[in-house]
Amino acid sequence: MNYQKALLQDGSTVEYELVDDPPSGSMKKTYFSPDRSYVVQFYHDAAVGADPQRRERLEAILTRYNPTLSEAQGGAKGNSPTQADYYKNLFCWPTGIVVKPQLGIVAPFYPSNFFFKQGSLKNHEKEGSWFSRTKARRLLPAQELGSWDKYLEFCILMARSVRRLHQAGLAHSDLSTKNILVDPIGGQCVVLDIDSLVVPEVFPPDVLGTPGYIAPEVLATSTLALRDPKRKHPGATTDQHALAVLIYEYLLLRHPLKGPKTYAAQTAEEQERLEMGEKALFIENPTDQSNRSRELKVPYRKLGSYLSDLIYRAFVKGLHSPNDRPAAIEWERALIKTWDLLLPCSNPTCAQQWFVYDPSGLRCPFCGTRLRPAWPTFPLLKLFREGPPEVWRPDGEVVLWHNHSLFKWHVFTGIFPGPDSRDKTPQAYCLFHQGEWWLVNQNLFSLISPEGDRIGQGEALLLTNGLKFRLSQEPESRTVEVELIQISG
Amino acid sequence: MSYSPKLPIYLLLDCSSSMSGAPIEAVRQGVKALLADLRSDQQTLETAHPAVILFNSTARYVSPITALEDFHEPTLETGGTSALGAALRLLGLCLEQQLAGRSTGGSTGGSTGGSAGHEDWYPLVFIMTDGYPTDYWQEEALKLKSKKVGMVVACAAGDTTNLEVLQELAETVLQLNSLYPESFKTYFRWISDSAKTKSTRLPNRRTPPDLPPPPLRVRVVP
Repeated sequence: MNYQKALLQDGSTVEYELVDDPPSGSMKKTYFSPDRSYVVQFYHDAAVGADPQRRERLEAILTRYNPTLSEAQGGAKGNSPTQADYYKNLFCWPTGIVVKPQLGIVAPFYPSNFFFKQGSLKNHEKEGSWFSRTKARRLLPAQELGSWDKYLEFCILMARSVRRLHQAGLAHSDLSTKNILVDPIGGQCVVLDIDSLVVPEVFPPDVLGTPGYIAPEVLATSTLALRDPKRKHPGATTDQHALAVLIYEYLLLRHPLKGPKTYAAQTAEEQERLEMGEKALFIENPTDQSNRSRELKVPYRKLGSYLSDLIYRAFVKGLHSPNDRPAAIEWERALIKTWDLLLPCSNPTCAQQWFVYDPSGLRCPFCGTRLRPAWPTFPLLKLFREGPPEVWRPDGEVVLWHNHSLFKWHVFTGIFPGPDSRDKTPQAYCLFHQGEWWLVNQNLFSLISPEGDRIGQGEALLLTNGLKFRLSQEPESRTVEVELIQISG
Repeated sequence: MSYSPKLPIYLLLDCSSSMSGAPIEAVRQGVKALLADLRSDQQTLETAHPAVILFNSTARYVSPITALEDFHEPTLETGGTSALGAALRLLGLCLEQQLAGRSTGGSTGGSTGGSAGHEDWYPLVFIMTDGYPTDYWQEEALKLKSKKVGMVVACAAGDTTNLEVLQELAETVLQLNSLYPESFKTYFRWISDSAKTKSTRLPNRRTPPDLPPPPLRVRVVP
């Protein structure tokens, strides 16, 4: 083994294994540490190392832009140690700047769940395109595919990561299946290539992006001179396009713009520029069906109203109008709301195993099986929050199922799932018992039945159609209304 | 004729030169998040009326109180100094006009005066800044505290914010970089002097059965 030393900016050194043919991306080549806990990456272009702005950008990324360090450790302003630990799992954030033998970075190595455990790809990293394309999926062993709820879960994390960058005023600028590894078994993902973060007007983008994820306006203007004011560059709104494409691909296993419509052009590049750029057209566009794919087994509307609305905004209204694209925070919200509407498929051999509750038909859109559980109904909990005093406003819905739990973010309006909710203890769970649905209190301190009786921990409330009650007597708690959805008949 | 009370929402957005780069991007995203939260609830969709005051070397009332459906995100360009005091003074004038509308039934607030339930709600104020004002603002901030507002929220934008200024501005300080979906909703307050709307009475039922143990495996959203 040929171990080399790299000198970091802070004066310390790290070791890496020098090999002849290191893995190589568009900007950097990657070497591994002897214990494979971190990687050392060098830029291909030596001129990059001489660029003081590059150093300055890396310094900012390591310190004041850094959500994986708490403010006390020199990370982002207002970042708590809990948040820092949380975001360490969502980003492969650089931890050091290499100054010798040439400019580079040190970054953590991805955890083992991002490598295939079985099949012909064993020990390869889980690049997202293996999971988002029907043909590629056929090459994977069934144990590696994961169920659909896990795709929804890593999409939540993906939207949350991008939201965290955007709200700090940063943009990734090259989001793609290559730069976000996914783990569909554990429902995890990790964002890579953080060293190219873009700050408009301060740190420009290095690349246009990855084909398939480049925003139409960037592609359409890519032949203009770099300084041409008409030329559009990657930034937050183009990240919003890439994020929408990724979410659509992972949830529906097809690309939103790749349909049958083609444009004759002199070169393949020119053709791509038209189809994905200037002339890009959503395969499910409701009015212009000229790019409508023949393989729309599951139309996007089957993802429920929260996601449908955003998909419409991203690919119909906002495809050529960047400012109309949904922000990452809106995707995060819609995905979380959708997670609360998941129903388990009644077909044990269904590859997806979960689907989104759709009031118009209780059938799994992926395998077509009708919902046939061991009970004739299931409770839909409609949540309400207090708007003006004593006026209750609809605030989402939760599909309850046997042994499904409610959490603090369901009970209180000021608590959100994610980095700050360390308290993931179930507050109550739902039970089908002796022919009826019950809500069993586990950790609610002031659950009071509509009759006024206190329902202590371990006690249960019978859920009947139309029942309304408040989940807690504490401030900012929600009221719920029960609707028993009929399954048969 | 029925009048539906408005919930005025004033956005004070700092566009000074220190905001260029990451901070102004954070403000853009913050405004998007705020509008998304307003649009996600029928109550706010119908009542919320955003207005925008931009400030750098001067303060400008660029977008008067507008129904949410007609509201457009402001175009933000940075440059110049940070006249927070001037922005707060301008906000004060807007609030006074609003209040005059409330009590006299004048045109600005669109209110019908003293009759309960027909007045506009007290305004909400969101100030998005990095906290480096260049004019004399403390006195204006004090004056704001004496005004009848539903809520003042100072939102810290960017990576080098001066939190002390934001804390002096408002009791509630929000870091834009760690905003959750719907976190703005927590600050939507409908406060008025008038009577409260009645809620419906809740129907009843309860029985404790012999229950099997709780589930061993708990599914939880990430």
